[in-house]
Amino acid sequence: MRTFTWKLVVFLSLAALLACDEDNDAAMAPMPESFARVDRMGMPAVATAVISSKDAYNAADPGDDAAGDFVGEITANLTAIHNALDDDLTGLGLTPASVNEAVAQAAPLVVPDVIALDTTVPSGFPNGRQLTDTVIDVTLAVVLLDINGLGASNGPHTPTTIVGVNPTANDQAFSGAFPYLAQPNQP
Amino acid sequence: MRNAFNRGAMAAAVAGLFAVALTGDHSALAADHRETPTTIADNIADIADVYTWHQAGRFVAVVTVDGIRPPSVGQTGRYDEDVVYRISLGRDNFPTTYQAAVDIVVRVTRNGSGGWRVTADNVPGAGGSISGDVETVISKGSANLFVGLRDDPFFFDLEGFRNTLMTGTLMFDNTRDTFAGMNATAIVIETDLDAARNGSDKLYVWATTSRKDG
Repeated sequence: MRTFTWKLVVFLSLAALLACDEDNDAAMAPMPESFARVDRMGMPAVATAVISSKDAYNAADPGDDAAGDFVGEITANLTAIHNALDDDLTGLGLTPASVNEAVAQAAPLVVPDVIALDTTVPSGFPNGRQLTDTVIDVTLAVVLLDINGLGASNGPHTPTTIVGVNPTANDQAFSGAFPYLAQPNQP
Repeated sequence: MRNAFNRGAMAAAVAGLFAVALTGDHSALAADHRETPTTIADNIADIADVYTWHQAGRFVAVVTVDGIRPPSVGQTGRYDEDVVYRISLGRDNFPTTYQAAVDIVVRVTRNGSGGWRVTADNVPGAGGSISGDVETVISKGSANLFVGLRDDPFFFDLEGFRNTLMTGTLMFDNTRDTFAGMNATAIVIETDLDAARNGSDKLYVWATTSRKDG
């Protein structure tokens, strides 16, 4: 996997040495010498919604995203989605974004594919992703609808216009204390 | 039906009427769950979701893997010492370098007595590697680490998407949460926000998994 592999090997080898130094009482299996990337993720839904070459995407890094490696297929998938859905969105009283506008709205959020977190303002998707955030409905809105304040044109919608299309809360209550996720469901 | 629309009723109406034609097999809107043939075959290394936020001077990152897992008797997280999890943290220079300032590396290995132990390296504020049992909270320095089975925290009508593929009609149902009652293996890391940002106002977070090659 290009230069990535040896860099990771070197890095992980150093990490393993440090780890073993810290925990020389632990019977830790030796760090494998070579790795292959399996998966990569930042923002929700990106790889599954608008990426076609998923294995190449998983093997890539944010710098590859920023270099434009996947912009062509993102645009092609957004075009197909809008060709299929725009009439129906209009029929529902919504204002679809043009493909160019959809790209302009979504690209700053998903290229490169990392979650940006401005620590000077409160968290809330897409500023970070909290457990409670309704990320799919917000993502649908940004990809499908003309949003006021995003992209080049100022449409009538907000990122929360269609929140409620999907369930808006988890089935289990999250905890206020670390590790925050609910206990496992039981059989 | 379009006459029913007004600002207040829009979300509810859309939820009920969001039935539209869809062509092709694009638009798998399921975060990253069950994403490609490669990752489907490797559940333990298949990232389900990534979360990150800050609150009350603390920084939190959550990576779920092996998601949408049905409950089972005697269940724990499923682990493999050939898999490495990495949570990457970019700081102020990320928008020009696209490089991580910190790579938090998490491994789960056999503990020699039939169980599993987790080791997390490079967690800001921890003052060294964090190591301890899975399925329990481990604290070191200003950092907390948990790796273990939890409720899959995502909520979304993935079944509606699958129905979309079968029928060619896109149909979300806001009463149907495909992840309800399902579990995932969670990697949860928390530390002091100031240690995480090290002077940077903005952070950039992503996760990768890798498996021993050959």
